[in-house]
Amino acid sequence: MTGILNDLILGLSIALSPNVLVYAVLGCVVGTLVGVLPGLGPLAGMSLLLPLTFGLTPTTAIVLLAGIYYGAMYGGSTTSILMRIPGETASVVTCLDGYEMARKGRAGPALAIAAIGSFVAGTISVFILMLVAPQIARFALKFGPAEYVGLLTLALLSLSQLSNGSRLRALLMSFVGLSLGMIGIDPLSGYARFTFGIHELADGLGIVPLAVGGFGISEILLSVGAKSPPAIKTPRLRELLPNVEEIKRSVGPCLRGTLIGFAIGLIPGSAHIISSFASYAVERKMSKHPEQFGRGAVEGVAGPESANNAAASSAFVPMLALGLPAGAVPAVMLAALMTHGISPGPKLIQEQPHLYWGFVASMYVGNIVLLILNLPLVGLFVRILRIPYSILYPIILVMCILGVYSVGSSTADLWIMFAAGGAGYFLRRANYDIAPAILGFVLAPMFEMSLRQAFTLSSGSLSIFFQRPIAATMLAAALALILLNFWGLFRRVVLRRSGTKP
Amino acid sequence: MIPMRPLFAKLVSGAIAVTALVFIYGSLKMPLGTVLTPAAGLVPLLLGCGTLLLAIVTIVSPEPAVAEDDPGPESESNETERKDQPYDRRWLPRPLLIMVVLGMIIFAFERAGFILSMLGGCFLILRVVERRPLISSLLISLVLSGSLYLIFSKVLYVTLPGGWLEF
Repeated sequence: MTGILNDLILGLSIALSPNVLVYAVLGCVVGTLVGVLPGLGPLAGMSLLLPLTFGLTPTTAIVLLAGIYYGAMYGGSTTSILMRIPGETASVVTCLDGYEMARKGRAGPALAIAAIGSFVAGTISVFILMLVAPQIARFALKFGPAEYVGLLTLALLSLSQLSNGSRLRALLMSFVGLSLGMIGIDPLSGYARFTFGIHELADGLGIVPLAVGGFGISEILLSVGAKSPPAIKTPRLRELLPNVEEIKRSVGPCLRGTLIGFAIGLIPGSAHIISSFASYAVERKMSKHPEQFGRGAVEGVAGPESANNAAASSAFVPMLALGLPAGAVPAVMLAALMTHGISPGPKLIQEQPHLYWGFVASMYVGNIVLLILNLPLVGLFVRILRIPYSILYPIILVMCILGVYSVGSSTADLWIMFAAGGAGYFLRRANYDIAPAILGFVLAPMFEMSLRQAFTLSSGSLSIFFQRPIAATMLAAALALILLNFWGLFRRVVLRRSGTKP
Repeated sequence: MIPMRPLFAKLVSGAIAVTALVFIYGSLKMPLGTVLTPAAGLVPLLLGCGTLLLAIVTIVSPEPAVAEDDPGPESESNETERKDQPYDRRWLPRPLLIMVVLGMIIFAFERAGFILSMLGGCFLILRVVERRPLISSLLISLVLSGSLYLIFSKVLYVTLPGGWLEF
């Protein structure tokens, strides 16, 4: 423990040195801007600025890129809360309750809770990472296709928890989303599925145009189609920060979201969006007032935002400890390090302690910088709501188009966004919730790939799911969840028939 | 919660069911494999069947009661117009107009270029849909398209189509 403290002090001395601190702040500012702009996610921001890091030292390069990553995670919640447009895909879940809080004049507290929750989650995650990174990384490597099937089965079961309306409709939308995820070239066989000869559909529909269209464009269409402008209550100055009740209600979700996000972020290839909606589903299950979810429950912001920030930190664990990037963003960081002749791995801590601990300390410093940057900006962001909606929504529309186009520089993505917006409008007018569809879309390809890979490994035998302990545990938990739900339904039916209130 | 219109909701469920049928038809044309060795078409087929079944159940299920004060989309309402801009009901519905303008922007995006398509699209929305004064519509459109061009192109190095203003 003393050794770790000494190393952390070394790291802090590096992270707080003026030249490193400047790049940390710069990264956070650029990242926040990238996160605020819908569609332009941290990966795009980091990739675009990667060439700029070639002339920097390894420590400053990695600190700059990490700052962009964290900043994007922080910034992504801003447009989710203010405009119901996910700034980046992991913020999709924040749209559900964050925007409803804004409509009730609680935009400031929502933004503040998102920032504070992200800070707490990031701090705790860095602390855990600091202590047990190598051990955790070895556990994460045990995840194979069977384990992914277990994890994703649990995730799929919680899809119906996302909607405040009819469970049947939520399930239908989940299936719609899962089906949309099948579009594109099958990665295992190379077969083109539902592309209709359009080569732009070979890579599938894309989460960004679907999410921006389904949430953002449909929201604009619903709002302009309403008889009166959207009833977004503009908060007074003293209402910009959360009250004591909101803070108390956020503590538990924040801590739980941190643990959930950290655990899921460790798993190579897992999407951060899974961590945020897993947290949402857990908070909704644990809440004494689940009916408030989808209507501005602060837990629905605190938990998911903490989860996705914790996932952002833990995603670096396999990269730092084992030299294996757990996703696209750590892969960009790895590329930045390799251009400087550094190969992360088990020996990084011994051979480059100033780089390793400097990076770990800069993650903590970055969280503080983002909190200092974002909390005062809450008042500024909330002022956006004062703009007359007839001027605001064209701005939002243009930002949506730019954000989606910047992902792949393709008008096909814009047309997908257009179609998703139109479909989302009609679905929402019929009281279908879009969130289960978006998340089903994300999970479908991962689930199908893992399932088919698992069957290939086991030569078509189901035994693979029972022989691997992690997979067996997760599938048993999924089965228990299903049985619990059926038991609850059975009890309600019996009690209703006997005339007793459930 | 948006007040529900039962017939409209069932129409949407019907549209989902029809889409599911198309999905099933397409899946059957692909190699299916077996349950324990699924090929490209099996999982889409199962999902299509699940979607169709759920859509049918949704159609035949009773709808929740519509709110008493909900006039529905078909009724003519005497409610006051939006305070910020009067809306002429002889025009097409706003959402449809927005979608038309959005379609025009996307169509022109790579042909005319980012600046011209955004400028034209914003101006159409502000002037034609929102009936804002000419000068303010033009000014807002210019400022918006120009500033976003600067942010995306010069700060974030995102390649934007120049179109007719290629420079």
